[in-house]
Amino acid sequence: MKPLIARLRLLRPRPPSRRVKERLFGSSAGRFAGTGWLQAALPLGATAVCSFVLALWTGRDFPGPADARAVEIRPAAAATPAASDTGNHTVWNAAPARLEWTNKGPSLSSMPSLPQGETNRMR
Amino acid sequence: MNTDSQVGWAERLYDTHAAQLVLYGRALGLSHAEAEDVLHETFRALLALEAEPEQPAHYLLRSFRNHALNHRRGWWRRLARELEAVRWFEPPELEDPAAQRLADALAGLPSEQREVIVLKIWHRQTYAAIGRLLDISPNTAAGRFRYGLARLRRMLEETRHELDETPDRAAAFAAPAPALPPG
Repeated sequence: MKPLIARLRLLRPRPPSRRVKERLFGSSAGRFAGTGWLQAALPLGATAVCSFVLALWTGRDFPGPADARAVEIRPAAAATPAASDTGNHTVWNAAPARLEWTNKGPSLSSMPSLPQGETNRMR
Repeated sequence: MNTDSQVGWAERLYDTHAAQLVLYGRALGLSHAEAEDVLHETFRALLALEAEPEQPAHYLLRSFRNHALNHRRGWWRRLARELEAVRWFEPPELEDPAAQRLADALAGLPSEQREVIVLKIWHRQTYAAIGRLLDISPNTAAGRFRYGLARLRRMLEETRHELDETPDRAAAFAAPAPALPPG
């Protein structure tokens, strides 16, 4: 007959139910719930495309890789250097702006600003 | 807000200690469901910490014990505990009748001895650590452990004697009945 302590050690404590751990740390199944399932299920490239399309369509932010969230745009050729002053309106050299996706939809992070003194002359 | 690293160490602690803590809750007189509730409260408090405690095992035991003692006070909870089936260990072990007898005997020990035995065997605490946790001397902890084991042995012996007698009684019961007198 085994010593009593050794026999006691053989008893494995009954573990808590899985729900306790899920409430504390979240479940592995839960990580795929909601919009995050898209990112988990699709390859990275497809996720970027889907996120972009969904964001455009719904105006909401969807999860996607960070590098897909910023798209650099350049002003059209017609908007770059023109006559310095055409009377009623002025065209100026515009710096490249970054189009970024925020929770409220797309926004330009750096808008080209008017040169000093131009605003007064436009009035 | 919990950071990833915080959740990491807390989850690791959970994986290594949760089952033993539930057993400790049973030794303190809680039902399994209550022990789970206390476990949840203990880890919620742990997740509110900014860093891992220096002695995580000791911290967990102390925190769990405090939560358990607070939880145990309600009279209606005591009533619910009385009604709940006793199952302290995993079922596979308990398919063995000897293991079942052992678990029953453990549950039948006085709570002070039961607590020290659970802390010593399943939490692998030293008598000094148990003494710090329960505010008793290490010698007292060692004494409770020894007396507890001695009592367990006695209880198991008694159960075995009862079982030894049972087959005889069963045999007597199963013996063929005396033949009815003719006529």
